Amino acid sequence: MDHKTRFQIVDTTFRDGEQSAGVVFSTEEKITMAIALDRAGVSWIEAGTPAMGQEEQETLRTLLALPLHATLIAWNRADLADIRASLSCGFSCIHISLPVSDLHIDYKLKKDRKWVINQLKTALQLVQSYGCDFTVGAEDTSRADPEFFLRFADVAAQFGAMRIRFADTVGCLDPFMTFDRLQNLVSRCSLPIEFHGHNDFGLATANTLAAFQAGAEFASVTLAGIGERAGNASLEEVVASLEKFYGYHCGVESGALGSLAELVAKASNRPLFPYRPVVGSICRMIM
Amino acid sequence: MKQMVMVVDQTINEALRLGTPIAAIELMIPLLKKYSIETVDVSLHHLQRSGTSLEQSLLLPLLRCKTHSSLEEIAEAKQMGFTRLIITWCHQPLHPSMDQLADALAAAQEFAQEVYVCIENAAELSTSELTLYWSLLVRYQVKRLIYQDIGSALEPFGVYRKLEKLQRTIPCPMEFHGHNAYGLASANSLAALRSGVQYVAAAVSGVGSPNHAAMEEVLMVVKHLWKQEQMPSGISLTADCIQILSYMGVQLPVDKALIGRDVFAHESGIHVDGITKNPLLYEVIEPEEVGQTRQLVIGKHSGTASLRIKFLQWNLDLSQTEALHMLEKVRRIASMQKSPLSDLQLHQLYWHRDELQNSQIS
Repeated sequence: MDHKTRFQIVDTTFRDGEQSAGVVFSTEEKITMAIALDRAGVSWIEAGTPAMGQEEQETLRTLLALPLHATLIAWNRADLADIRASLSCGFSCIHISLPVSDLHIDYKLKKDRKWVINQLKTALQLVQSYGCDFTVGAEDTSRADPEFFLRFADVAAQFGAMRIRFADTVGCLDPFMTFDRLQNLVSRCSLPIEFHGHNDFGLATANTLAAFQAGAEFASVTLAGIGERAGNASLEEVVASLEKFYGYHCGVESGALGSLAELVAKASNRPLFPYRPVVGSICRMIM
Repeated sequence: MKQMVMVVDQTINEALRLGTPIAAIELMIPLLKKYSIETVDVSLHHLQRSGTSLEQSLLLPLLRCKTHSSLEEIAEAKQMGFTRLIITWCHQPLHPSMDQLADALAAAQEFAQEVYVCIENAAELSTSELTLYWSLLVRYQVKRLIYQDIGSALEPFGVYRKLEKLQRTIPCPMEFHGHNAYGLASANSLAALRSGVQYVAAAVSGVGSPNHAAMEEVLMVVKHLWKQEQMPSGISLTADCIQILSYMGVQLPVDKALIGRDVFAHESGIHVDGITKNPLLYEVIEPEEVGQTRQLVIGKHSGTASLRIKFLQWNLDLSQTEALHMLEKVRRIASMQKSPLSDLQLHQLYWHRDELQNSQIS
């Protein structure tokens, strides 16, 4: 396993985190959290989904107006109307997501792989024509044909995407599986890989570290691991683990982790479990 | 990794630390025994502090008592009636004398049917430092060496590498006892199992001070990701875990993997639409596998498909146009109240949908 020199955090608390059933952040809470994330050194913040409507767009415009060092990213389906909503908010960094597993393509989209590639091209042509930076998400990569993922990434690279997201959408990997998959893909992929892990079996942090070991260059995480179902890899655990196990400082101040987790706990009305790693009261007392 | 997985419970020890009464602990044990629990560890210190008496308890054969290498503590454990004893030990690299441990093992061997050695800081030691203990393990017929990672010093690849190497020379079986300061304990326990270790420490939802691997995560990964069918059924897992924690006064987070209240709740439009087409799209296992049910939540992130599906559950057919009109109102209410809509609120919106449409047109 090579020693990594580059690995960046992409925070998706406002997008995947807020999609957690029953969670709603107010605009003020998002402002507070965005400033705190920025001050802590997070470089990328996935700020939300403009296609959700007027109210969400107003919130996103407010976030875009903040004097942040971090780049704010708008999440989009590969749908032209969705992308136009992001552009009209003023985003200059756009994320386009499409599924790549046959399960999702067959059952959810009721299309085929060819349609997915064409849809990606159409969406990327639009964002490219506006001169935006963009990243591409491959939903359900962990259950997809790796060769199709690589082809999908090639198309994204041809249009100038900055990176491609490997999404373990239902959290069906363990760290050894993650390492094997990512190691195979990293050397063959035409773009840097961002790992996006879900916590359905409680392994999201371990899987993110395995992706780091395998050569992924980005990790998407959320504060306190908040997110769909059992959540995402938690920012605190990933940041603290990178320092502890690999001596790698990813740019996020570890001293800020406790207060960041408290912010999201309050905003989501989900108190931190005392036994929670890194930021739980029992863990903090012992450490 | 095809061998049986045996869990060494740490939940009861945390219950003792929290002062849970013995009567409640006796109710917790049958629930735990449904889940590959081979043994239950209790520390002498917590027993003494809580004033719990186990002398007449039917639980004693299942319990292992953890003591330090102090002859007084070992005598106390003997007096309490324990026949299974763990001598805990912290290796001091600068003062590596093992005489005190040898004395403790000799004292334990006099009365205990099973003697175990737990090296608390094993994860921080080299193979050659640990090998120094092999002769003691043989001399005192130690049943298993417990490899503890008290400082959460290892990640899964390190666990696998170290344990795989040690098992080539160790004269007795090993147990892995990981901790969870960095959120890796379940993954580390799974790495230990992968290396060939059969016994791993775990607690319901990872409780403990310091915290542990989560029992439900370890077992369900082995069952569902590693496809080992001989693992225990999870059909009452959620209810059992919640019950156990409730005896301890511990409230489970709603998003706790596998057993949290909301881990099979879906709100976002894309996910609800997908789940309706095929639950496998956004669920790694069926909720019933862990004793849960799928929930559809209507809130800020819902889409028109979610609304139509929700109302169809009440045999109310909502047109696409009606759903679109209602959705904006739903999102506004959810944002205002910072929570999903109740069924009552949805019914009210439905019965006033004509007014809603008219007001929007005007």
